[in-house]
This record gives sequence, C-alpha cells and structure tokens, in this order.
Amino acid sequence: MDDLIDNLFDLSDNIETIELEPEQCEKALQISQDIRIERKQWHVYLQALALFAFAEWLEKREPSLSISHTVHQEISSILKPEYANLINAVYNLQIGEFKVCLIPIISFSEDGVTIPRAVVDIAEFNNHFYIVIAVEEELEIAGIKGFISYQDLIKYKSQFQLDKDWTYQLSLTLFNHEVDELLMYLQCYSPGLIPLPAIPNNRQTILAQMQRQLVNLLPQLNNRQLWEVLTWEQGVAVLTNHELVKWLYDNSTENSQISALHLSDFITMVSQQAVNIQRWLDNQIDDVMQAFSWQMSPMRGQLSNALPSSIRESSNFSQELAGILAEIRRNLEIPNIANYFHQDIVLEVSLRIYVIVWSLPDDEWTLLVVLKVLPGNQIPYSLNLRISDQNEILVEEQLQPDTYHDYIFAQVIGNYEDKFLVTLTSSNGEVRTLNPFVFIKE
Amino acid sequence: MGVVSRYWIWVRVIGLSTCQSIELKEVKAFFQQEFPQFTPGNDVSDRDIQRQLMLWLRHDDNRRQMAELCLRCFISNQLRHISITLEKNLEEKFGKTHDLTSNQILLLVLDKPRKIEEMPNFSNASTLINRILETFDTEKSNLSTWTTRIFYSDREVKNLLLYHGIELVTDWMILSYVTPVKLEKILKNNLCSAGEIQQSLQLLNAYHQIYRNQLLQTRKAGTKSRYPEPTEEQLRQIAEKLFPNRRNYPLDFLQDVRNKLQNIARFIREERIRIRQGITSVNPQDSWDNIPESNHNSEEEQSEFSRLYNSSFDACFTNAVKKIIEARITYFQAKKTAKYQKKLKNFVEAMHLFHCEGVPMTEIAPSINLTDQPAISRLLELKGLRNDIGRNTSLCLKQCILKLIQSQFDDDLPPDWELKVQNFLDKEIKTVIQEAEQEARNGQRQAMNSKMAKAICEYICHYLNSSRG
Repeated sequence: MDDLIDNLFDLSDNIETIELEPEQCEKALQISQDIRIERKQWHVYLQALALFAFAEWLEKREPSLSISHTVHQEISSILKPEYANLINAVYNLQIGEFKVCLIPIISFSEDGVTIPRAVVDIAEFNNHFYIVIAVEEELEIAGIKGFISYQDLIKYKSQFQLDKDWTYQLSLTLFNHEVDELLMYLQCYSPGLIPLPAIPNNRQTILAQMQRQLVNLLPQLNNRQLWEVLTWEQGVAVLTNHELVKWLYDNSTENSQISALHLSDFITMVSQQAVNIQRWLDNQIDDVMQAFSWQMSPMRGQLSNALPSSIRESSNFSQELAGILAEIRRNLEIPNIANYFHQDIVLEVSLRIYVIVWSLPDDEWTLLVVLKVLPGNQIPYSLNLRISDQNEILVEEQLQPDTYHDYIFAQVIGNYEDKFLVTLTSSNGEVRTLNPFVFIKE
Repeated sequence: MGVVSRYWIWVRVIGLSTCQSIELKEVKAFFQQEFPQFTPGNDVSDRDIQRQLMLWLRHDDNRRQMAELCLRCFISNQLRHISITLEKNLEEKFGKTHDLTSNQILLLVLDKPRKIEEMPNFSNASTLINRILETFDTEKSNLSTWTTRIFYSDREVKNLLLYHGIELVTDWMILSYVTPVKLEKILKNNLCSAGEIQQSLQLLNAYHQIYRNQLLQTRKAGTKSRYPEPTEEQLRQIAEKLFPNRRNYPLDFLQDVRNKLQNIARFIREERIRIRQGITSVNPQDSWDNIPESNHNSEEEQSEFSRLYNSSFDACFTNAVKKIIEARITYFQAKKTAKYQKKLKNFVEAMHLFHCEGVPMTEIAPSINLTDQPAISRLLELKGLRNDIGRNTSLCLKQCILKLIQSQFDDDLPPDWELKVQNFLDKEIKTVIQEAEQEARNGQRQAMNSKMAKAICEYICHYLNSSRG
C-alpha cells in the first residue's frame, strides 16, 4: 500500500484532456506494426497517438486550423517510417503556414522532456513550435503539456543537457503551459515572427566528402543506432539526405548485412549531380554533360567526307564502335542509333568509354556502356565495370588479358524513378566513378 | 490479521451518493458457525479463512453462495479502507485534496444494489469487485493485498485520479519510457559501478524488447491494461535474453530479475522527484510581451476611431460567440455516438443553466446526472471556450481595424504596425475574458452580467429555440 502511494504524482497544471477514439488507437497500433524495425514500433505508436490527439484538439478548439482530413489522408507521409525510426518526434507538421513538432511523452506528471537533437539543430527539421503531448494510451486520453517557439528554444538551449544518443533533456518549465496561446499564435500571427534558419546548400558536398567514412562506418550498424556508430556531423550528413535515410531503412532488416560496395555507389548517386539521359535522347548538349567531359558524336554512315578533320577523327571512333556494336548485336537487340557519347580516361591504361542510350516502349529506357582499351595499350590484368541502381548492384563485368576481346560492355534498363551509377575499378584498386544517370521528363 | 466482522459487513452505495455499511445477518451466522474459533474483536488469520472460503467457492455447492458473500463483504471493507487511506495520504503527500474525497472513490468502486434488501451478487456487483474475486489466488497473495493491487490497476480508478490531477506512475511505466542513455546517466549520478551500469543497461534492453513489444501485441488483442506487472513468462524471456546459457529459470531466479528491474525503476523515480523539486520556472512568454503599445492620434480622430472600433468590437464578439459555440455543437454532433449525443445535450443544458440562470457549477452536476463539479468543468471547458471566443474576436477585429487604419491614415505606417495592433487587441480581449472569469468564480446563484456571459446566454437561447422549433 505504501509502495503504491509512492507511485502517485500530482500534476502541476490543470490539463485539458483530449479523448482519443478507439479507432484512432487501433490505427496507431496498425501504423506501428508496419514499422519494420521491431524495437522502434513503440515509439511510432506513441507518435501516432500524439498526432491523432493534436488533430482532435484542433478539430474541437479551432476547426479552421483542423488537420484531421490531412492526417487521415497522408498519415504515412507525416510519420515517414524511415525517419520515425531515427527521430522520435512528429515534425514538419503543417498547420496553416506554421510548421509544428509534436513530442510524445507517456505521463501527465512528467516534468522533463527528451527532444531529439535533430529537430533543434538541423535546419531541415526545425519547426516554429515544439509541442509536448502526454499520451495516456490505456485511458485513451491525451493532453498538451506545453509548447515553446523555436526562438525560445534556441534562447534556452544553454540550459539543455545534451546526451550522447543525440537527444536534449530539458525541463518542461521552459515551456508555455497556457496552450490556448498556441492557438492564438497559429491562428492570428504570421510565421514570419519566428524566423527559422535557412537550409545550408552544401549538404551534398559534405555528404560526398564523408563518403569514405560513411562507407566504412554504416555497415557496422548491425541493428545499432546511428549515434552509436557516427559522429554528430556524420549523422547530420546522413539525416539530411532523405534518399540515404530511406536506403538505410530498406537495408536494415534484422538479418541482412549492409553491402559496403553498394552503399558507396548509393552515396555517390545521391551526392553527385546527375546527367539527365532524356536530353541525350533528344541529342541536346548541356552544361552538365560538358562538365563531365562527355562528347556527342554521330554514328558512322551518316557522315560525309567533307566534314572538318575533328569530326573525321571522331568518325574513326564511330567506325570502331560500329564494329563492337555489330558483335554485341549477335546477342542483343540494338536499334539504329543516331548519336553516341564517349570520353577517354586513364585508369592503369588509356581507356575509352562509350555510352549509348535509347528509349523503350512503356516509358522505359536503356543504357549501354562499352569500355574499350585504347589501341597501343596492353589489356590490363583485370578491369571491372559495375553498374548499380538505388537498390542493388545490377551488373559486374570483368576484362581480362586472356579474353579474346579488348572491350567489355554492360546494359541496364530503367524507368523514370531509376538512377544508375557506372563504376570502374582497376586491378590495383583504383576506382573511377562516372556521373550518375537519371531520366527526368522536362 | 484483522477484524472478523469484515466478512459479514457489506459496504455499498445507496442512492446516488451515499455509502452505507450493513450487517448481513445470514452471512454472520454462517461465518460464526463455520469458523467458531474466530470471534468478533479477535485477531484472525485471514489467510486461513480466505483459503477455506475460496475452496468452498470453487468446490462446495452447499457453501458456495455464503462463502462468496463473505469474500465480497471483505473486499468491500478493504476498498473502503483503501479509499480512506488514499484520501488521507494524498492530503499528507501533496498538502491539498485535489477535490477528491474517499466518498467519490467509493461511489466508483463499490456495489450499487438497485433495491435496499438486495444481497451482493455477480450481476449487481461492481465490475472491480467481480474482477478481484475472479482473479484472486490464495497461493499467491492474501485478499487485502490483492484488492489493493487490482484497485490501483483499474482503468476507472486511474481515470478518476487523473481527472483530479493525480497520476499513477508504476515501475513498469517508468521502465518502458526511459532511454538507455538516460538510465546510464541516472545510475552514474547515483555512483553505480561500471559493471552495475552495464548489467542494468542489458536488463533494460531486454525488458524493452520483451515487455514493450508484447504490450503492443496485447493492445492489438484489445486488452486495456496499462503497463501491467510483467508475467512470469515475460520475466523468463527477459532472463533468457540475459542468461542464454542457463538450463532453467526457477521462480526465485525470475523474482530476482523482477527485483532488479524494480531497483532500476526506483533510481529513475527518485530522479523524477528530484527534478520536480529542483526546478525553477522561467517565463517563456517574455519575447511576446515586449512590444510597445501604439501611439494615440489626435482626440478627434480618436473619438471617431473609437466609435467605429466599438461597433466593430461588438459585431466581431457576437460573431465569435456564435461561431465557437456552433463549432462545439458541430464537434459533438459529428461524433455520432450515443456518448457524444448525451454530451451534447448536457453541454447545451449546462451552458444554459450556468450563463442564463446563474446556477453555480456545484448545483448543475446533480441536475444533469453528473457526479461532481469537476465533471461539469470538463464538459464545459469554459476556459478554453472563452479563449477561443477571444481569439476569434481578435482575429475579426484585426481585419476591421486594419481596414479602418488604412482608410483613415495616409502616413506611412511603421513596419510592425500589424503586430502592435495585434498586441493591443490581445489586451482588450483579455479584459473581457477576465471579467467573465471573475464573475464565474463567484459561486453564488445570481444572474450573470458580464459581456461574455450575456452573449453566450443569448446564443444558447437562440439555439434552444431553433432546435425546438
């Protein structure tokens, strides 16, 4: 009995209670069960309940701010599973022109709150207001404990305790408990009053710089949390790249190992500017293409001898390519092509890369890459050609001295969502990555 | 050990709000016949009596009914004891009663027979008492401890406590919520050794994996028990995670795991209390209040301005009252469940009684069949209602004033003039709200005269007339 009295806590404020409907609790459970990482289901369950409670509160108190419909329609994009799992809060929830962040806690009498560092320190996840919501899930009620604006949050930041799991511990006394004032700000004020930091434009560059470290560290995750493996700076680089976060989520099932090779390709894909293949199909030359040293040339047979010598020179390439294509055509159907693209590189020996693209029915397109040793060079001991898309390594081909040919080729087929990365590796481990290829309708 | 009369005195609820103890003569005769060694006033071994009564309840057709009555009487006495102790302890612990009396708790948990002469039985008994009796196992506990345990795990009890501002925070809840890093820090502060910390973190991790995930599973199955005690099976699974090489996990080993978990919870709880006591409040609203008031223009302009302003104010205010009360009514209606339809009816009725007839909250409760004043407060949520009206008035007024200012002043306006207007309006609205609050706090039966109360009354009357007509 005396034990149990110790278990009783009184609430410092009167809290307006929000009643959750049984269907909302069921829906929250269902959402949490869809999260692939089991130990995170609990957090997502609470996040969903906090979201429903907040929507319910707005519906009741200020229908003009209601988000019930949006929540109903777009719950999965509000609680992105790949992030829900990394940042324990519902953030970037749009209420009119304001962005708000909901932080669930499970007790009404709690006085401290744990806030993910990401929503405080990363511009992408900063919100105008941070709202702490107590969820009593058994009693199917919730209550808004308090809120704080971004500017106040930053003002009091020196009073927070930073923990190594990338969270801040802070006291709820820092929050405004007159939650009706939140409605006033949301309804009557403009978000311009609370300026949020701009998103830095060097995210991709930093990610590219950290590629080697991340390729080393991320495969060591093995069901551990990001903070156990990465520094905060590395964490920021990962968290701010949605595609990478999604990749990690898709590749972190209980039993699978992260492939360092594909991770490396993937980071290149998401951190480098890509060439839009659609332009190549239309025979357009753009800056990106030139920046990556690609040259476009017409196929042989459509040339006249009267052309300038530089093009006649390229016609030699064209002849060479035509020969290769004739051989490849024995096994592969290749339509008549107007143009091809090429560039020369040195990787152990001098090499020429040919790229040919053509479109297929049903909005698909194909990329054929031919890698040829330039005349006068020995065929190297081993030369590897690899093509990856966002999901996996698609093909790997190897050129070896004992083969009959002095070239290798690989072909991939994609649709609009796909991105391809071509990587060459020499026998001494030197790596050359081409720019990623995408297909975007303009 | 206790007084034997608890086995034949039945504590029950009569009418709407009276608790009454009555002696059940037949039950007393039965008890004295079966247990002649125990006489009133003597200390008794409850354990033996309860074991015997339970045996009869489960296996003896002749004595079953009387045995059940004895047990039900005992539980009802124990519940009264718990409620009285709880009221006393709350007062001692928090220095205030939270408007919660033992009587209110008893009204919730005790049997409510429909007729005076009715005996306690399964169908008229409180669901709590039925549950205590159904789950009681004489091998594991005695009936008083068991009653206490089920009482505190009861959803309705927790709900009542929470509505009175008291929350039951169990070890299992604390452990579910704490993060490993937070626990590590707490243990370090308590000077635990590295080994102890390592062990505790492993234990917490296993607990989260087993207990938390299974909690979600039980929720899925529709069970509504809040952070229940971990079962033996769960403790065994936790033990298996920690000591995978053991051949078996005897009960006392599992008990040890449980104790260790509770020890961890104790550290977290102490930290929680320390935080509650140690913090001073800062006012986060500073930044919003530092905006200076707007300057006044010449007197003439001002009087024309005030005339227009006052008429705008009244129009906006009346409109906001209508909009907000309508919105509440729509909110209740949209729910379509019987519970909300009843709420809607009560809401309109209580709003009318309070604002039009000046009936104090305490008197409204019985007239619409609600137990107490807090229930009415929760239904009306006047504070929120007033703020919602104020906010919407302010929003509407702002539009009017911005138009007024633009039409009357040609000079360049300062860049933050919108904000200044907003700030001025917030103060105006605050005055109207405070007037209504003060009036409502009065507690005497008298007509309401505040601007807010009058406007609300007018709208509610209009609503009642139109819904009747």
